[in-house]
Amino acid sequence: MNASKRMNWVIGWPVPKLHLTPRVLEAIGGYLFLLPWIVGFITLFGGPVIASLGLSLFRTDLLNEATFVGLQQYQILMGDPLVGKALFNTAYYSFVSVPLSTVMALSIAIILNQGIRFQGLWRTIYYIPSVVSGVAVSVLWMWLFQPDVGLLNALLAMVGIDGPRWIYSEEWAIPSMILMGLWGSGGSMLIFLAGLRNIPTALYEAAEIDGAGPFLRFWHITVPMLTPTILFSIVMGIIGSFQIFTQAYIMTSGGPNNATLTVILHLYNKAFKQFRMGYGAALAWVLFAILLILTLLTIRSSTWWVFYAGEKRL
Amino acid sequence: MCLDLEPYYEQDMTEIDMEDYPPYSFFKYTNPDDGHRYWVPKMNTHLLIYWNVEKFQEKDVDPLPSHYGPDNITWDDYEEVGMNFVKRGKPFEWGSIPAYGIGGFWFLDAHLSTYETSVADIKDLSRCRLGDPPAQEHMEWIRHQLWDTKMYGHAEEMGGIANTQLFASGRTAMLEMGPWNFGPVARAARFNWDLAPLPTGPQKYGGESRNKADSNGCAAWSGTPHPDAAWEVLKFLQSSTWHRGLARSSLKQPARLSVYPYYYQALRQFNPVFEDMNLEIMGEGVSKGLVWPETFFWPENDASLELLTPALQEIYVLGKKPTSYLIEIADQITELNRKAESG
Repeated sequence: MNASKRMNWVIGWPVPKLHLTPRVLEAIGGYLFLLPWIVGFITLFGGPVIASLGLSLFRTDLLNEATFVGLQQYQILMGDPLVGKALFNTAYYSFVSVPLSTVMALSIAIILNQGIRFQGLWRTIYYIPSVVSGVAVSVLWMWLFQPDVGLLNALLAMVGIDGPRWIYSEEWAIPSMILMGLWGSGGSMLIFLAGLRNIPTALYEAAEIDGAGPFLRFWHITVPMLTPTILFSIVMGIIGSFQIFTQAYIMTSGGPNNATLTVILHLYNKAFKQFRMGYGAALAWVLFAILLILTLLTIRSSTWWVFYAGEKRL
Repeated sequence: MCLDLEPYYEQDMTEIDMEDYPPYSFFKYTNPDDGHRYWVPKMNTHLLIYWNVEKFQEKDVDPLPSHYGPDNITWDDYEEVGMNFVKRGKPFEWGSIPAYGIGGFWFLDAHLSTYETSVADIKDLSRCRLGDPPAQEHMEWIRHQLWDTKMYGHAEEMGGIANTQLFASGRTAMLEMGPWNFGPVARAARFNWDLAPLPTGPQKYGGESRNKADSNGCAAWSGTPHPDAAWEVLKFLQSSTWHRGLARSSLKQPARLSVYPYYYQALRQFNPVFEDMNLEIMGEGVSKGLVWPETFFWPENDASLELLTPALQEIYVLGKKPTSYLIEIADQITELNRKAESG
């Protein structure tokens, strides 16, 4: 009888009564809710990530016996001229496209935040390109970039400009992809729009009373209040742009003359075309290290230029 | 990586009619050191010229020859024929388009066979032959058609549109293509078209009509725990029943010679455009011994292609380098492969 009192009965089974504090119970509940994600993370992401680090120390095609080669893959990688080329192309794309797309997205967001008519419709129109499949976008832009009958050069010809050869030119291939990337600024625009909506109107009203014009209000209120959003957009932009693959794979296959060979495309060629899985894994880790450094530098720099309204500075 | 099938071939030699396969069928997956075979042939396809009969009639141009042999046209004749159809307006129209653009090494190899040469040396696969005088001569002919005469469609002008679509829409009068695209072109084209062999090379290189066979096959993984069962499957994949089924369902040129008549019949039943077409040309090249095995791969193929692909793009896509640039690149490829061979 006493033993029965010390038990809870769950679906006919005795479960010992535990005297847990509400805080512990809350924590257990939280972890139980997190469990599906944790299991998914460990099995589908964390596990493969660690495995890829191990893989980078082997020479293997994943079909035949793997040979342990230590850091040799990293040594080979350092001497591979295509890695340098791919890193240069990727950095060129990232360092130009991220600031440009940030300015573009912010500009569109500011325009759409002016209380214009059909705001929802405009927002949808600008956002649509960022949800279209990368392959479809690439095929569409191949037509737009077509040097002789493409729409871009036809428009340029109307104002007397002889358009470039776009993706068929070594010099213009990466700028073409940057231009194409700007078309998908709608995703960041939506985030900026949300950021703009969060700025208290009282700040603008106070500034107006003090005699600040539109430019001063933008520069001293909008920009500082948006800096956390800008930081987020830049960090995500750097990470995303360093992973550029679809455009280069579909439109140019890395050509002409490796002018659009990006790090991920090179990784794909090595790992999945040449079955050099160890080399591909090593390249992935190098890319991770570069992204980590760039992200840390950006976040570190944020202490100088990002303003948090609720932050207490000592 | 692939299972050595030689013991199985030896064991079942009487069951399998090996004479039914053209000799080049095994080349790509045969170990040159011991002659052991590692695959069963599936398809052997040759490069052909698809030509738009109605466009030729419109321009009053003589039809292309329907047989390999002395009556075939030369590469210079081919240029002359093609120039009849070049239109520099918008949209552009061309005389012909090479298969798979300039990076399609198989197309290069087939072209070079008419100059008695190849991309890689058949007797010494570590040697790249693109720097040799015959190859240089023809590679310059290709550059001339892309950049000077514009007889060939340039990748930039084609703007990512598939060459089969350009042929089916009448933008090019001729197309260098294998039989694997018969189905899509027959479905899309609204005109009569026919087939011709590749042009003949210059007299100094034999002046013969030739071609290369792009061979596909099936293999088993060397690590399989059930090699005997794998061979049973592979044996079935050599049966006449399977080859007939493949010819009918894929409309691709079969590996077995005895299936060719059935293949022609399947094509003619598939679409009326094939009824009067010169399909027998596919068997003719084989029976006359004019088809050679493809040799456009090296022992260190990936590293070699990393050198060759950008070089070809610099010459043909960007027009920045002369054809002679390939002499330097061919030497680098040979050196790279020799070094790998010597360990």
